[in-house]
Amino acid sequence: MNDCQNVAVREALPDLAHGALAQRERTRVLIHLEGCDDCADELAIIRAVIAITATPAIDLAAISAAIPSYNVGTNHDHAHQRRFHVAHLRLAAALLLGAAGVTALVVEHQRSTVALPMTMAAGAAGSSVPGRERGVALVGTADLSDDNLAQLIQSMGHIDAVPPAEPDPVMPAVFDRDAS
Amino acid sequence: MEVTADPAADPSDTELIRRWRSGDGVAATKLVERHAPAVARFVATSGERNNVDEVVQDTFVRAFGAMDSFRGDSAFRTWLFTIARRLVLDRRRSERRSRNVSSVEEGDAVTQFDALDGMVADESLLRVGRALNALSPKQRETFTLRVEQGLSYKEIADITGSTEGAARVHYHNAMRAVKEFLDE
Repeated sequence: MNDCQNVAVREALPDLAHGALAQRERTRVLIHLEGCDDCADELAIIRAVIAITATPAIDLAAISAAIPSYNVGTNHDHAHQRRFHVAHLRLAAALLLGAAGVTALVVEHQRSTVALPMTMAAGAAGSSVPGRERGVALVGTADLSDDNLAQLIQSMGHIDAVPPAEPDPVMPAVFDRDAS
Repeated sequence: MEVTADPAADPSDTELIRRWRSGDGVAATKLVERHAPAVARFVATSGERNNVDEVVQDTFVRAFGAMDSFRGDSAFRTWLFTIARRLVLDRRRSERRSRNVSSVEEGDAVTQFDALDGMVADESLLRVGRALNALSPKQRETFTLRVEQGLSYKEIADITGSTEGAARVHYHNAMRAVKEFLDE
């Protein structure tokens, strides 16, 4: 047995066997079948399958008796509970996303505050590497008084402009805002 | 497969469901009478030949118990087939577990076509039955839903959780396999 090249007709054969084709389509398929042995063979197979698929014996009355009556309250409650559960999940997801967004904003803000061009101010007193010991206070030059600015410039004068091959960990004296 | 004839004489599935919801038990009986034979044939060809009655009853009980989740996007019969198919698969899985079978053989289902020898005298029909038995479960399922139940590829895809394209391919592959079996 071969496959007919007219796929549209082949696709319609099960519907023809079930009487589910519109009149016009049915006529078109029947005309094709008169001259096509391949489609006639296929239709015979389809009819044979329908013929051998007998309906098993089932107890319709028992099935009907087993069907529960419609319980409006129960069914409604289940549906309501399902909707309520979904609403909770959505709310939790929204809160989680919001918290993540706020955290990202805070981190970004802190990062940009540190990264912006800032002046490392010189400390007023004593420590050679105050940045390491007490933390580095980063402020803009606009915040410095004239005296502090002069101290900063003086400290920077002590920095060796040409570093040795192995640079010493020399840092300018850092202005401690808290100390001032 | 929605019936849309004269609502008074032959109410649609939707109308019967509405009546059942408002307390009309007869509406449920009509739905059972309308669809149970088709569901039974589907179950029998799906590999539960020996427990058809039980599976069909379970199908209807579950369907009516979960009627609120039936949105009417598909035909009621298609929805019933989807439930029946799931039940058949569940039973097959639990049978495998109870038999402690580690390897899963797809073709271990007993279909209606296994019993044709004692029921059908026509040799050509017997050969068609054997050809169907030789198909893979997926091909047989699609083929019988299309040929025996007359469902569209869209409905078959809804029932089997597949696509229309896949259903079409399974159908034509199955038809070719049946022809080759009959040509041998």
